[in-house]
Amino acid sequence: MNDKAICKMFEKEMFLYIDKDLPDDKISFWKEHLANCNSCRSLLNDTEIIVGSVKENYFEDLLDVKYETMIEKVVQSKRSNFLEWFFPSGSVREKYAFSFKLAVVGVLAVIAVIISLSTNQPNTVKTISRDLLDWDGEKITTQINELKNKMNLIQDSNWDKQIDVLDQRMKNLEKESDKFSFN
Amino acid sequence: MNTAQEQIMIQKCRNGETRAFGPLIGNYRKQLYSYLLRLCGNKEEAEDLFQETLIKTWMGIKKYSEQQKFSSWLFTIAHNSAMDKLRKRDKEKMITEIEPDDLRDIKDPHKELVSKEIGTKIWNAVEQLSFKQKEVFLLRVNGNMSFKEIAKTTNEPLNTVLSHMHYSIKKIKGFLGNQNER
Repeated sequence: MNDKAICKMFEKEMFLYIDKDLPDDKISFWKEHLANCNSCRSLLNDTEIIVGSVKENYFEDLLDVKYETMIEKVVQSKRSNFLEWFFPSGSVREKYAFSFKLAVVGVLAVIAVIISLSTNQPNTVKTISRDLLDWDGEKITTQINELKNKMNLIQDSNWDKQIDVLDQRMKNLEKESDKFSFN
Repeated sequence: MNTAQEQIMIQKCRNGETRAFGPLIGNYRKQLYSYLLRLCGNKEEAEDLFQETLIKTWMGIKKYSEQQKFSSWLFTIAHNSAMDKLRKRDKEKMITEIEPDDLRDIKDPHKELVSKEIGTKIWNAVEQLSFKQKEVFLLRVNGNMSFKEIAKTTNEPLNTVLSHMHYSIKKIKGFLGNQNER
């Protein structure tokens, strides 16, 4: 690899070198290269000067009073976990995350019901829904009325009297049979 | 405030000690506000986003994991809030339509010490960057994030992030060179 290619590679890896986010042998290699290469050394120096100057010059700032008011508001704004779960503070994404999840669950549930109904395989959803769809109010009312009539018939019948009549008949038959035996 | 002190403050916040929150954020106040203002270019929105970031930080402090730098976590929250807001509007429109009144304090060198003149020029140069370049540059410089963290936060491949940073520096350098020639 010629010098130019090495310098080009340093350009690429310079920031990782600054962060020491490279393997030790690579860092040693660049250290050695920097000791001998004016161009790369000057690139590194310029970069550090620019970054350093920016860091030293934050002109914009909040007024102390404003900052303190903000902090005061923030630390007093702690809400219960319950409220936070339902109505999260912060970004729009977070705020609507719960509603979104709920909507997704709802849509999935509807899809599941549709699939269950449309499939040929028997399943609970289908059975329940068929029962609901097949429910015939009139048929059930007729059955109830029939039962009621039967109950009334049972109540109206004079069973005791019938039994008495049968009993009397039996006695008469016995008497007659006795007569025949004496003869 | 060093890392150990910061961790103590975080623990206090977790325990509900409201007084610890101000100093904890105060450490990054300028960088955070500057980042939001530079990214959205509007003072009012930057303040809203700043407050939104504070609320989310305070609410989520119990979920914060020490494996991540607190500043990176804070800037990721700010970045996501800003992106949500930016997505609502036309990104390009937002970047180009920087309200002059909002940045007057930044760009007016008379208000600043002469020693800060170079900083003013650099910030003016930052304004010339494309949205993606500015996003990466500000997360690096203001948020002090590693490039791997930036890649994760912005959902961009590491090489793309490195390339954005490389071109940002090149552009800023070029802009400053032109300024000096004038």
